[in-house]
Amino acid sequence: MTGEFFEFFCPVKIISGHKALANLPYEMTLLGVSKALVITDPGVVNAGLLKPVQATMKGSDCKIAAIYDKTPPDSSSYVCNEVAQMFLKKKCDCFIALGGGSCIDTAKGANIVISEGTDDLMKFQGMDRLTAHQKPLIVIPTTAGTGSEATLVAVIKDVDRNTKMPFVSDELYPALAIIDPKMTMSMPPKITAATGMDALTHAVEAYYSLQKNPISDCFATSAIKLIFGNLLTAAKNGADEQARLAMANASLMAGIAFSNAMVGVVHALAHAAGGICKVPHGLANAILLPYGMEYNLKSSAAALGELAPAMGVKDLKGNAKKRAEAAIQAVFDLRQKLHDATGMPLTLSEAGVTQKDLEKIAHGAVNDGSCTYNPEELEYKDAFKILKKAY
Amino acid sequence: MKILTDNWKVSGALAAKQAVAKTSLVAVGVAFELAAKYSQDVRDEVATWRDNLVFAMGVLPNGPYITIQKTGHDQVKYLGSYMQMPDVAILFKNFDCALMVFTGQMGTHIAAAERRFIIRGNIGETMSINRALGIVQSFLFPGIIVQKTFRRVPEPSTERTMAKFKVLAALTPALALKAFK
Repeated sequence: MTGEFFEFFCPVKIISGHKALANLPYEMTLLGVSKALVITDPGVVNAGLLKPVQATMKGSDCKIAAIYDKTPPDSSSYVCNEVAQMFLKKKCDCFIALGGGSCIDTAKGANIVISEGTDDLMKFQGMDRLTAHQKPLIVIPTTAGTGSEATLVAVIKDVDRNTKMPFVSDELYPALAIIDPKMTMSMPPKITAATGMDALTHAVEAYYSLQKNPISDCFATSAIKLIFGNLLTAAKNGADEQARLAMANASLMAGIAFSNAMVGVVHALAHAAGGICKVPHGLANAILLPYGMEYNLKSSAAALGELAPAMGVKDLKGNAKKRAEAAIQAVFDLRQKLHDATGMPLTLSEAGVTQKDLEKIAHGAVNDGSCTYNPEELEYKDAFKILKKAY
Repeated sequence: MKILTDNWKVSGALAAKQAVAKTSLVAVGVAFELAAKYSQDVRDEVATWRDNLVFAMGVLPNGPYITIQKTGHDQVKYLGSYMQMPDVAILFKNFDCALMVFTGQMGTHIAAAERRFIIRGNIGETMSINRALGIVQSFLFPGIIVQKTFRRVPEPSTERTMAKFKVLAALTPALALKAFK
Protein backbone atom coordinates (compact mmCIF):
# COMPACT_ATOMS: atom_id res chain seq x y z
CA MET A 1 0.00 0.00 0.00
CA THR A 2 1.67 3.18 -1.17
CA GLY A 3 -1.21 5.46 -0.27
CA GLU A 4 -1.82 7.26 -3.58
CA PHE A 5 -3.81 9.90 -1.72
CA PHE A 6 -4.65 10.08 1.93
CA GLU A 7 -5.29 12.35 4.88
CA PHE A 8 -4.05 11.53 8.36
CA PHE A 9 -4.83 13.52 11.49
CA CYS A 10 -4.55 12.81 15.20
CA PRO A 11 -4.21 15.89 17.41
CA VAL A 12 -4.87 13.96 20.65
CA LYS A 13 -2.26 14.23 23.39
CA ILE A 14 -1.84 10.78 24.89
CA ILE A 15 -0.62 9.99 28.39
CA SER A 16 -0.46 6.27 28.97
CA GLY A 17 0.81 4.09 31.77
CA HIS A 18 1.07 3.51 35.50
CA LYS A 19 -0.40 6.46 37.52
CA ALA A 20 -1.15 8.39 34.31
CA LEU A 21 -4.32 9.70 35.94
CA ALA A 22 -2.25 11.71 38.44
CA ASN A 23 -1.29 14.08 35.61
CA LEU A 24 -4.87 15.24 35.13
CA PRO A 25 -4.80 18.62 36.99
CA TYR A 26 -1.44 19.54 35.48
CA GLU A 27 -2.73 18.80 31.99
CA MET A 28 -5.88 20.82 32.67
CA THR A 29 -3.67 23.77 33.53
CA LEU A 30 -1.79 23.35 30.24
CA LEU A 31 -5.12 23.37 28.41
CA GLY A 32 -6.06 26.60 30.23
CA VAL A 33 -9.09 25.10 31.95
CA SER A 34 -10.01 24.56 35.60
CA LYS A 35 -13.74 23.72 35.93
CA ALA A 36 -14.63 20.31 34.57
CA LEU A 37 -17.93 18.63 33.88
CA VAL A 38 -17.42 14.89 34.37
CA ILE A 39 -19.62 12.64 32.21
CA THR A 40 -19.85 9.09 33.44
CA ASP A 41 -22.35 6.28 34.01
CA PRO A 42 -23.76 4.37 37.01
CA GLY A 43 -21.55 1.33 36.36
CA VAL A 44 -18.38 3.39 36.49
CA VAL A 45 -19.50 5.12 39.68
CA ASN A 46 -20.44 1.79 41.32
CA ALA A 47 -17.05 0.37 40.36
CA GLY A 48 -15.49 3.19 42.38
CA LEU A 49 -13.74 4.74 39.39
CA LEU A 50 -14.99 8.28 39.97
CA LYS A 51 -13.22 8.56 43.32
CA PRO A 52 -9.64 8.44 41.98
CA VAL A 53 -10.53 11.17 39.49
CA GLN A 54 -11.92 13.36 42.29
CA ALA A 55 -8.86 12.58 44.40
CA THR A 56 -6.46 13.89 41.73
CA MET A 57 -8.02 17.35 41.98
CA LYS A 58 -7.20 17.78 45.66
CA GLY A 59 -4.56 20.41 46.30
CA SER A 60 -4.78 21.76 42.73
CA ASP A 61 -6.43 24.84 41.25
CA CYS A 62 -8.66 22.62 39.16
CA LYS A 63 -11.99 21.25 40.27
CA ILE A 64 -14.91 19.12 39.18
CA ALA A 65 -17.73 21.64 38.91
CA ALA A 66 -20.44 19.12 38.01
CA ILE A 67 -20.95 15.40 37.49
CA TYR A 68 -23.38 13.81 35.04
CA ASP A 69 -23.52 10.16 36.10
CA LYS A 70 -26.64 8.94 34.29
CA THR A 71 -25.25 8.25 30.81
CA PRO A 72 -27.24 5.36 29.29
CA PRO A 73 -25.65 2.64 27.12
CA ASP A 74 -27.12 4.20 23.95
CA SER A 75 -26.72 7.91 24.46
CA SER A 76 -29.22 10.12 22.67
CA SER A 77 -29.57 13.69 21.46
CA TYR A 78 -31.77 14.36 24.51
CA VAL A 79 -29.00 13.25 26.87
CA CYS A 80 -26.49 15.43 25.01
CA ASN A 81 -28.78 18.45 25.32
CA GLU A 82 -29.25 17.78 29.06
CA VAL A 83 -25.49 17.53 29.57
CA ALA A 84 -24.91 20.72 27.57
CA GLN A 85 -27.39 22.60 29.77
CA MET A 86 -25.58 21.36 32.89
CA PHE A 87 -22.25 22.51 31.41
CA LEU A 88 -23.59 26.02 30.82
CA LYS A 89 -25.44 26.28 34.15
CA LYS A 90 -22.37 25.27 36.15
CA LYS A 91 -20.12 27.52 34.05
CA CYS A 92 -17.74 24.68 33.19
CA ASP A 93 -14.86 25.14 30.78
CA CYS A 94 -14.01 21.57 29.82
CA PHE A 95 -15.41 18.05 29.64
CA ILE A 96 -13.97 14.94 31.27
CA ALA A 97 -15.46 11.75 29.80
CA LEU A 98 -14.95 8.90 32.26
CA GLY A 99 -16.21 5.60 30.91
CA GLY A 100 -16.69 3.68 27.68
CA GLY A 101 -17.89 4.69 24.25
CA SER A 102 -21.27 6.00 25.34
CA CYS A 103 -19.82 8.45 27.91
CA ILE A 104 -17.20 9.66 25.43
CA ASP A 105 -19.69 10.11 22.61
CA THR A 106 -22.12 11.90 24.94
CA ALA A 107 -19.35 14.37 25.78
CA LYS A 108 -18.65 14.86 22.08
CA GLY A 109 -22.36 15.39 21.37
CA ALA A 110 -22.82 17.87 24.22
CA ASN A 111 -19.70 19.67 23.03
CA ILE A 112 -21.25 20.12 19.58
CA VAL A 113 -24.42 21.57 21.16
CA ILE A 114 -22.38 24.13 23.12
CA SER A 115 -19.73 24.97 20.56
CA GLU A 116 -22.11 25.30 17.62
CA GLY A 117 -24.63 27.18 19.80
CA THR A 118 -27.52 24.93 18.74
CA ASP A 119 -30.52 23.41 20.48
CA ASP A 120 -30.79 20.62 17.91
CA LEU A 121 -27.80 18.33 17.70
CA MET A 122 -29.26 16.47 14.69
CA LYS A 123 -28.76 19.56 12.52
CA PHE A 124 -25.05 18.78 12.63
CA GLN A 125 -25.15 15.22 11.31
CA GLY A 126 -22.78 14.45 8.51
CA MET A 127 -19.14 14.35 7.58
CA ASP A 128 -16.77 17.29 8.05
CA ARG A 129 -19.53 19.78 8.63
CA LEU A 130 -18.62 21.19 12.06
CA THR A 131 -16.94 24.56 11.89
CA ALA A 132 -16.75 25.77 15.51
CA HIS A 133 -13.78 24.83 17.68
CA GLN A 134 -14.89 22.57 20.49
CA LYS A 135 -14.32 22.95 24.23
CA PRO A 136 -11.39 20.88 25.51
CA LEU A 137 -12.41 17.25 25.98
CA ILE A 138 -10.36 14.99 28.26
CA VAL A 139 -11.05 11.27 28.00
CA ILE A 140 -10.30 8.65 30.64
CA PRO A 141 -11.40 5.29 29.18
CA THR A 142 -12.59 2.58 31.57
CA THR A 143 -12.98 -0.01 28.81
CA ALA A 144 -10.45 -1.12 26.22
CA GLY A 145 -12.26 -1.33 22.94
CA THR A 146 -14.11 1.73 21.72
CA GLY A 147 -11.03 3.77 20.79
CA SER A 148 -13.27 6.84 20.89
CA GLU A 149 -10.62 8.58 23.01
CA ALA A 150 -8.66 9.04 19.79
CA THR A 151 -11.29 9.29 17.05
CA LEU A 152 -13.17 11.90 15.08
CA VAL A 153 -16.48 10.04 15.39
CA ALA A 154 -19.41 10.26 17.78
CA VAL A 155 -22.40 7.93 17.49
CA ILE A 156 -25.58 9.32 19.06
CA LYS A 157 -29.06 7.82 19.00
CA ASP A 158 -31.79 9.78 17.25
CA VAL A 159 -34.69 8.85 19.55
CA ASP A 160 -37.37 10.12 17.18
CA ARG A 161 -36.19 7.85 14.36
CA ASN A 162 -34.80 5.06 16.56
CA THR A 163 -31.49 5.00 14.68
CA LYS A 164 -27.89 5.67 15.58
CA MET A 165 -26.52 8.79 13.94
CA PRO A 166 -22.81 9.19 13.19
CA PHE A 167 -21.14 12.58 13.49
CA VAL A 168 -17.74 12.73 11.77
CA SER A 169 -15.46 15.74 12.05
CA ASP A 170 -11.84 16.58 12.80
CA GLU A 171 -13.26 18.93 15.45
CA LEU A 172 -14.40 15.91 17.48
CA TYR A 173 -10.96 14.67 18.44
CA PRO A 174 -10.44 14.92 22.20
CA ALA A 175 -7.67 17.20 23.43
CA LEU A 176 -6.27 14.61 25.81
CA ALA A 177 -6.54 10.85 26.41
CA ILE A 178 -5.37 9.49 29.75
CA ILE A 179 -4.78 5.74 29.56
CA ASP A 180 -4.38 4.41 33.08
CA PRO A 181 -4.53 0.60 33.36
CA LYS A 182 -6.03 0.86 36.86
CA MET A 183 -9.15 2.39 35.33
CA THR A 184 -9.89 -0.70 33.20
CA MET A 185 -9.16 -3.38 35.81
CA SER A 186 -12.70 -3.62 37.14
CA MET A 187 -14.08 -4.74 33.76
CA PRO A 188 -15.71 -8.20 34.03
CA PRO A 189 -14.19 -10.99 31.87
CA LYS A 190 -17.02 -11.17 29.32
CA ILE A 191 -16.96 -7.41 28.72
CA THR A 192 -13.16 -7.46 28.58
CA ALA A 193 -13.42 -10.11 25.85
CA ALA A 194 -16.09 -8.33 23.81
CA THR A 195 -14.53 -4.86 24.03
CA GLY A 196 -11.13 -6.33 23.15
CA MET A 197 -12.68 -7.92 20.06
CA ASP A 198 -14.18 -4.51 19.27
CA ALA A 199 -10.65 -3.07 19.22
CA LEU A 200 -9.48 -5.98 17.05
CA THR A 201 -12.33 -5.30 14.61
CA HIS A 202 -11.35 -1.62 14.39
CA ALA A 203 -7.79 -2.57 13.56
CA VAL A 204 -8.60 -5.33 11.05
CA GLU A 205 -11.25 -3.28 9.25
CA ALA A 206 -8.93 -0.25 9.14
CA TYR A 207 -6.32 -2.48 7.53
CA TYR A 208 -8.54 -3.66 4.67
CA SER A 209 -10.57 -0.44 4.30
CA LEU A 210 -10.54 1.52 1.05
CA GLN A 211 -9.26 4.48 3.09
CA LYS A 212 -6.28 2.56 4.49
CA ASN A 213 -2.98 4.37 4.30
CA PRO A 214 0.61 3.65 5.33
CA ILE A 215 0.28 5.48 8.66
CA SER A 216 -3.02 3.92 9.70
CA ASP A 217 -1.55 0.52 8.74
CA CYS A 218 1.23 0.99 11.32
CA PHE A 219 -1.28 1.67 14.09
CA ALA A 220 -3.54 -1.20 12.99
CA THR A 221 -0.82 -3.87 12.89
CA SER A 222 0.65 -2.75 16.23
CA ALA A 223 -2.79 -2.90 17.80
CA ILE A 224 -3.46 -6.39 16.40
CA LYS A 225 -0.15 -7.69 17.73
CA LEU A 226 -0.94 -6.34 21.21
CA ILE A 227 -4.47 -7.77 21.17
CA PHE A 228 -3.38 -11.27 20.15
CA GLY A 229 -0.66 -11.14 22.80
CA ASN A 230 -2.77 -9.86 25.69
CA LEU A 231 -6.54 -10.10 25.27
CA LEU A 232 -6.90 -13.65 26.53
CA THR A 233 -4.70 -12.90 29.55
CA ALA A 234 -6.68 -9.75 30.39
CA ALA A 235 -9.95 -11.66 30.09
CA LYS A 236 -8.74 -14.55 32.26
CA ASN A 237 -6.91 -12.47 34.82
CA GLY A 238 -8.29 -8.95 35.11
CA ALA A 239 -5.74 -8.04 37.77
CA ASP A 240 -2.84 -8.39 35.32
CA GLU A 241 -1.90 -4.73 35.00
CA GLN A 242 0.51 -5.29 32.11
CA ALA A 243 -2.12 -7.07 30.03
CA ARG A 244 -4.68 -4.36 30.89
CA LEU A 245 -2.27 -1.60 29.84
CA ALA A 246 -1.43 -3.43 26.62
CA MET A 247 -5.13 -3.77 25.79
CA ALA A 248 -5.83 -0.11 26.62
CA ASN A 249 -2.98 0.94 24.33
CA ALA A 250 -4.17 -1.45 21.62
CA SER A 251 -7.66 0.02 21.81
CA LEU A 252 -6.24 3.53 21.48
CA MET A 253 -4.04 2.58 18.52
CA ALA A 254 -6.90 0.78 16.78
CA GLY A 255 -8.96 3.94 17.35
CA ILE A 256 -6.30 6.09 15.67
CA ALA A 257 -6.12 3.58 12.80
CA PHE A 258 -9.85 3.50 12.10
CA SER A 259 -10.27 7.22 12.64
CA ASN A 260 -8.01 7.70 9.62
CA ALA A 261 -8.99 4.65 7.57
CA MET A 262 -12.59 4.04 8.63
CA VAL A 263 -14.22 0.62 8.95
CA GLY A 264 -16.32 -1.68 6.77
CA VAL A 265 -18.89 -4.40 6.49
CA VAL A 266 -18.51 -5.77 10.04
CA HIS A 267 -19.32 -2.38 11.53
CA ALA A 268 -22.19 -1.82 9.11
CA LEU A 269 -23.78 -5.07 10.30
CA ALA A 270 -22.90 -4.48 13.96
CA HIS A 271 -24.42 -0.97 13.94
CA ALA A 272 -27.64 -2.37 12.50
CA ALA A 273 -27.68 -5.30 14.95
CA GLY A 274 -27.17 -2.82 17.81
CA GLY A 275 -29.91 -0.49 16.59
CA ILE A 276 -32.47 -3.23 15.92
CA CYS A 277 -31.72 -5.95 18.49
CA LYS A 278 -29.66 -4.03 21.05
CA VAL A 279 -26.69 -6.37 20.65
CA PRO A 280 -23.79 -4.60 22.42
CA HIS A 281 -21.47 -3.13 19.80
CA GLY A 282 -18.32 -4.96 20.90
CA LEU A 283 -20.11 -8.29 21.03
CA ALA A 284 -21.67 -7.80 17.59
CA ASN A 285 -18.22 -7.06 16.17
CA ALA A 286 -16.77 -10.10 17.96
CA ILE A 287 -19.39 -12.35 16.39
CA LEU A 288 -19.24 -10.89 12.89
CA LEU A 289 -15.54 -10.14 12.39
CA PRO A 290 -14.34 -13.44 10.86
CA TYR A 291 -17.36 -13.57 8.53
CA GLY A 292 -16.67 -10.01 7.39
CA MET A 293 -13.06 -10.97 6.72
CA GLU A 294 -14.25 -13.96 4.66
CA TYR A 295 -16.57 -11.68 2.70
CA ASN A 296 -13.65 -9.43 1.76
CA LEU A 297 -11.25 -12.29 1.06
CA LYS A 298 -11.55 -12.02 -2.73
CA SER A 299 -10.56 -8.35 -2.97
CA SER A 300 -8.37 -8.10 0.14
CA ALA A 301 -6.44 -11.36 0.32
CA ALA A 302 -3.12 -9.51 0.24
CA ALA A 303 -4.06 -7.16 3.08
CA LEU A 304 -5.54 -9.92 5.22
CA GLY A 305 -2.54 -12.14 4.55
CA GLU A 306 -0.22 -9.39 5.76
CA LEU A 307 -2.01 -9.51 9.12
CA ALA A 308 -1.21 -13.19 9.71
CA PRO A 309 2.18 -12.60 11.42
CA ALA A 310 0.67 -10.00 13.79
CA MET A 311 -1.95 -12.61 14.69
CA GLY A 312 0.70 -15.10 15.65
CA VAL A 313 0.35 -17.34 12.60
CA LYS A 314 3.59 -19.33 12.48
CA ASP A 315 3.27 -21.14 9.17
CA LEU A 316 3.46 -18.38 6.58
CA LYS A 317 3.91 -20.57 3.54
CA GLY A 318 1.61 -20.39 0.55
CA ASN A 319 0.13 -17.53 -1.43
CA ALA A 320 -1.67 -14.44 -0.14
CA LYS A 321 -5.01 -16.25 -0.07
CA LYS A 322 -3.62 -19.06 2.08
CA ARG A 323 -2.12 -16.55 4.53
CA ALA A 324 -5.39 -14.61 4.59
CA GLU A 325 -7.28 -17.81 5.37
CA ALA A 326 -4.82 -18.49 8.17
CA ALA A 327 -5.49 -14.98 9.56
CA ILE A 328 -9.24 -15.58 9.47
CA GLN A 329 -8.75 -18.92 11.24
CA ALA A 330 -6.64 -17.14 13.89
CA VAL A 331 -9.59 -14.83 14.61
CA PHE A 332 -11.97 -17.80 14.83
CA ASP A 333 -9.54 -19.49 17.27
CA LEU A 334 -9.20 -16.37 19.46
CA ARG A 335 -12.98 -16.05 19.66
CA GLN A 336 -13.28 -19.70 20.66
CA LYS A 337 -10.67 -19.29 23.43
CA LEU A 338 -12.46 -16.18 24.72
CA HIS A 339 -15.75 -18.08 24.66
CA ASP A 340 -14.21 -20.94 26.64
CA ALA A 341 -12.68 -18.52 29.17
CA THR A 342 -15.53 -16.05 29.62
CA GLY A 343 -18.69 -17.43 28.02
CA MET A 344 -18.70 -14.68 25.35
CA PRO A 345 -21.38 -15.63 22.78
CA LEU A 346 -20.13 -16.73 19.37
CA THR A 347 -23.32 -16.50 17.31
CA LEU A 348 -26.03 -13.91 16.76
CA SER A 349 -28.67 -16.32 18.09
CA GLU A 350 -26.71 -16.67 21.34
CA ALA A 351 -26.66 -12.85 21.49
CA GLY A 352 -30.46 -12.73 21.39
CA VAL A 353 -31.04 -12.08 17.69
CA THR A 354 -33.98 -13.95 16.17
CA GLN A 355 -34.17 -15.35 12.65
CA LYS A 356 -36.79 -12.79 11.65
CA ASP A 357 -34.51 -9.92 12.76
CA LEU A 358 -31.93 -10.84 10.12
CA GLU A 359 -33.81 -9.19 7.24
CA LYS A 360 -34.19 -5.94 9.16
CA ILE A 361 -30.52 -5.96 10.13
CA ALA A 362 -29.49 -6.57 6.51
CA HIS A 363 -31.65 -3.66 5.32
CA GLY A 364 -30.16 -1.40 8.00
CA ALA A 365 -26.60 -2.44 7.21
CA VAL A 366 -26.64 -1.43 3.54
CA ASN A 367 -27.54 2.12 4.57
CA ASP A 368 -24.72 2.35 7.10
CA GLY A 369 -21.93 4.75 6.20
CA SER A 370 -19.28 2.11 6.94
CA CYS A 371 -20.20 0.27 3.71
CA THR A 372 -18.65 3.13 1.77
CA TYR A 373 -15.17 2.12 2.88
CA ASN A 374 -15.55 -1.64 2.51
CA PRO A 375 -13.50 -3.10 -0.33
CA GLU A 376 -16.42 -5.22 -1.56
CA GLU A 377 -19.78 -3.73 -2.48
CA LEU A 378 -22.49 -4.69 0.03
CA GLU A 379 -26.01 -5.30 -1.20
CA TYR A 380 -28.95 -6.58 0.81
CA LYS A 381 -28.52 -10.18 -0.35
CA ASP A 382 -24.81 -10.13 0.62
CA ALA A 383 -25.56 -8.71 4.07
CA PHE A 384 -28.24 -11.32 4.65
CA LYS A 385 -25.87 -14.13 3.64
CA ILE A 386 -23.21 -12.98 6.14
CA LEU A 387 -25.81 -12.72 8.89
CA LYS A 388 -27.08 -16.24 8.17
CA LYS A 389 -23.53 -17.57 8.53
CA ALA A 390 -23.08 -15.76 11.84
CA TYR A 391 -26.49 -16.75 13.13
CA MET B 1 3.02 41.63 -17.66
CA LYS B 2 3.99 38.06 -16.79
CA ILE B 3 1.81 38.18 -13.69
CA LEU B 4 -1.19 39.28 -15.72
CA THR B 5 -0.63 36.42 -18.18
CA ASP B 6 -0.41 33.91 -15.32
CA ASN B 7 -3.57 35.30 -13.78
CA TRP B 8 -5.34 35.00 -17.08
CA LYS B 9 -4.24 31.38 -17.38
CA VAL B 10 -5.42 30.56 -13.86
CA SER B 11 -8.79 32.19 -14.25
CA GLY B 12 -9.19 30.60 -17.70
CA ALA B 13 -8.52 27.14 -16.29
CA LEU B 14 -10.84 27.80 -13.39
CA ALA B 15 -13.59 28.99 -15.70
CA ALA B 16 -13.20 25.86 -17.81
CA LYS B 17 -13.39 23.62 -14.73
CA GLN B 18 -16.41 25.54 -13.51
CA ALA B 19 -18.14 25.12 -16.86
CA VAL B 20 -17.44 21.35 -16.98
CA ALA B 21 -18.58 20.94 -13.37
CA LYS B 22 -21.79 22.88 -13.96
CA THR B 23 -22.61 21.01 -17.17
CA SER B 24 -21.91 17.65 -15.52
CA LEU B 25 -24.02 18.50 -12.49
CA VAL B 26 -26.97 19.64 -14.57
CA ALA B 27 -26.68 16.48 -16.72
CA VAL B 28 -26.73 14.34 -13.56
CA GLY B 29 -29.72 16.28 -12.20
CA VAL B 30 -31.76 15.95 -15.38
CA ALA B 31 -30.70 12.31 -15.90
CA PHE B 32 -31.71 11.52 -12.31
CA GLU B 33 -35.24 12.73 -12.97
CA LEU B 34 -35.40 10.61 -16.14
CA ALA B 35 -33.86 7.57 -14.46
CA ALA B 36 -36.53 7.63 -11.78
CA LYS B 37 -39.10 7.43 -14.58
CA TYR B 38 -37.51 4.55 -16.47
CA SER B 39 -35.40 2.52 -14.03
CA GLN B 40 -36.91 0.19 -11.44
CA ASP B 41 -33.57 0.14 -9.56
CA VAL B 42 -33.68 3.93 -9.08
CA ARG B 43 -37.37 3.85 -8.16
CA ASP B 44 -36.68 1.17 -5.52
CA GLU B 45 -34.08 3.42 -3.90
CA VAL B 46 -36.17 6.60 -4.10
CA ALA B 47 -39.17 4.79 -2.56
CA THR B 48 -37.18 4.34 0.66
CA TRP B 49 -36.52 8.08 1.07
CA ARG B 50 -38.66 10.18 3.37
CA ASP B 51 -41.37 12.26 1.68
CA ASN B 52 -40.25 15.44 -0.10
CA LEU B 53 -36.59 14.85 0.74
CA VAL B 54 -34.43 17.54 -0.87
CA PHE B 55 -30.82 16.86 -1.69
CA ALA B 56 -28.12 18.94 -3.27
CA MET B 57 -24.76 18.31 -4.88
CA GLY B 58 -22.12 20.85 -5.62
CA VAL B 59 -18.64 22.20 -5.29
CA LEU B 60 -17.29 24.23 -2.36
CA PRO B 61 -16.98 27.08 -1.64
CA ASN B 62 -19.34 28.82 -4.07
CA GLY B 63 -20.87 26.26 -6.38
CA PRO B 64 -22.05 25.31 -8.91
CA TYR B 65 -24.80 23.30 -7.23
CA ILE B 66 -27.88 21.33 -8.21
CA THR B 67 -30.94 20.51 -6.12
CA ILE B 68 -33.25 17.52 -6.53
CA GLN B 69 -36.43 16.67 -4.63
CA LYS B 70 -38.36 13.47 -4.07
CA THR B 71 -41.92 13.77 -5.37
CA GLY B 72 -44.68 11.22 -4.94
CA HIS B 73 -43.84 7.64 -3.98
CA ASP B 74 -40.73 6.97 -6.07
CA GLN B 75 -40.11 9.93 -8.39
CA VAL B 76 -37.69 12.85 -8.23
CA LYS B 77 -37.71 16.32 -9.71
CA TYR B 78 -34.67 18.31 -10.77
CA LEU B 79 -35.32 21.70 -9.16
CA GLY B 80 -32.47 23.65 -10.71
CA SER B 81 -28.84 24.70 -10.47
CA TYR B 82 -28.82 26.20 -7.00
CA MET B 83 -28.69 25.03 -3.39
CA GLN B 84 -31.24 26.10 -0.82
CA MET B 85 -31.80 24.39 2.53
CA PRO B 86 -31.40 20.77 1.43
CA ASP B 87 -31.94 17.89 3.85
CA VAL B 88 -28.81 16.24 2.52
CA ALA B 89 -25.90 17.80 0.63
CA ILE B 90 -22.86 16.18 -0.98
CA LEU B 91 -20.27 18.93 -1.47
CA PHE B 92 -16.91 18.42 -3.17
CA LYS B 93 -14.01 20.25 -1.55
CA ASN B 94 -12.79 21.76 -4.85
CA PHE B 95 -13.23 21.56 -8.62
CA ASP B 96 -10.45 19.00 -9.12
CA CYS B 97 -12.14 16.58 -6.71
CA ALA B 98 -15.50 17.07 -8.39
CA LEU B 99 -14.18 16.70 -11.93
CA MET B 100 -12.46 13.41 -11.18
CA VAL B 101 -15.85 11.97 -10.25
CA PHE B 102 -17.91 13.76 -12.91
CA THR B 103 -15.56 12.69 -15.72
CA GLY B 104 -15.44 9.06 -14.64
CA GLN B 105 -11.83 9.05 -13.45
CA MET B 106 -12.87 8.12 -9.91
CA GLY B 107 -15.79 6.26 -8.36
CA THR B 108 -17.79 7.93 -5.61
CA HIS B 109 -16.67 5.27 -3.11
CA ILE B 110 -13.02 6.16 -3.74
CA ALA B 111 -13.87 9.88 -3.52
CA ALA B 112 -15.45 9.18 -0.13
CA ALA B 113 -12.48 7.09 1.00
CA GLU B 114 -10.15 9.92 0.06
CA ARG B 115 -12.42 12.45 1.80
CA ARG B 116 -12.85 14.42 -1.42
CA PHE B 117 -16.31 15.62 -0.35
CA ILE B 118 -18.22 16.50 2.79
CA ILE B 119 -21.74 15.43 3.71
CA ARG B 120 -24.30 17.62 5.39
CA GLY B 121 -27.20 15.61 6.77
CA ASN B 122 -28.12 12.03 7.55
CA ILE B 123 -25.40 9.63 6.40
CA GLY B 124 -27.88 6.72 6.06
CA GLU B 125 -29.98 8.75 3.61
CA THR B 126 -26.81 9.75 1.80
CA MET B 127 -25.95 6.06 1.28
CA SER B 128 -29.22 5.45 -0.56
CA ILE B 129 -28.88 8.67 -2.58
CA ASN B 130 -25.35 7.63 -3.49
CA ARG B 131 -26.53 4.21 -4.70
CA ALA B 132 -29.17 5.85 -6.87
CA LEU B 133 -26.59 8.30 -8.19
CA GLY B 134 -24.36 5.36 -9.05
CA ILE B 135 -27.12 3.86 -11.18
CA VAL B 136 -27.62 7.22 -12.92
CA GLN B 137 -23.87 7.46 -13.59
CA SER B 138 -23.86 3.92 -14.98
CA PHE B 139 -26.40 5.14 -17.58
CA LEU B 140 -24.31 8.18 -18.48
CA PHE B 141 -20.83 6.64 -18.65
CA PRO B 142 -19.62 4.14 -21.25
CA GLY B 143 -19.26 0.55 -20.05
CA ILE B 144 -15.45 0.73 -19.87
CA ILE B 145 -15.63 3.59 -17.36
CA VAL B 146 -18.31 1.83 -15.35
CA GLN B 147 -16.08 -1.26 -15.18
CA LYS B 148 -13.20 0.88 -13.92
CA THR B 149 -14.97 3.07 -11.37
CA PHE B 150 -17.61 0.81 -9.82
CA ARG B 151 -16.92 -1.72 -7.08
CA ARG B 152 -19.56 -3.99 -8.55
CA VAL B 153 -20.99 -3.41 -12.01
CA PRO B 154 -24.79 -3.87 -12.02
CA GLU B 155 -25.68 -7.27 -13.55
CA PRO B 156 -26.88 -6.77 -17.13
CA SER B 157 -30.58 -7.32 -17.80
CA THR B 158 -33.06 -6.38 -20.50
CA GLU B 159 -34.85 -4.02 -18.08
CA ARG B 160 -31.60 -2.21 -17.25
CA THR B 161 -30.53 -1.94 -20.89
CA MET B 162 -33.94 -0.56 -21.86
CA ALA B 163 -33.85 1.93 -18.98
CA LYS B 164 -30.41 3.15 -20.06
CA PHE B 165 -31.53 3.49 -23.66
CA LYS B 166 -34.64 5.47 -22.66
CA VAL B 167 -32.70 7.80 -20.33
CA LEU B 168 -30.07 8.52 -22.98
CA ALA B 169 -32.69 9.06 -25.70
CA ALA B 170 -34.62 11.53 -23.55
CA LEU B 171 -31.59 13.29 -22.07
CA THR B 172 -30.73 15.76 -24.84
CA PRO B 173 -34.25 17.22 -25.26
CA ALA B 174 -34.67 17.31 -21.47
CA LEU B 175 -31.36 19.11 -21.06
CA ALA B 176 -32.40 21.67 -23.66
CA LEU B 177 -35.55 22.33 -21.65
CA LYS B 178 -34.08 22.32 -18.15
CA ALA B 179 -30.46 23.44 -18.49
CA PHE B 180 -31.26 27.03 -17.55
CA LYS B 181 -33.48 26.26 -14.57
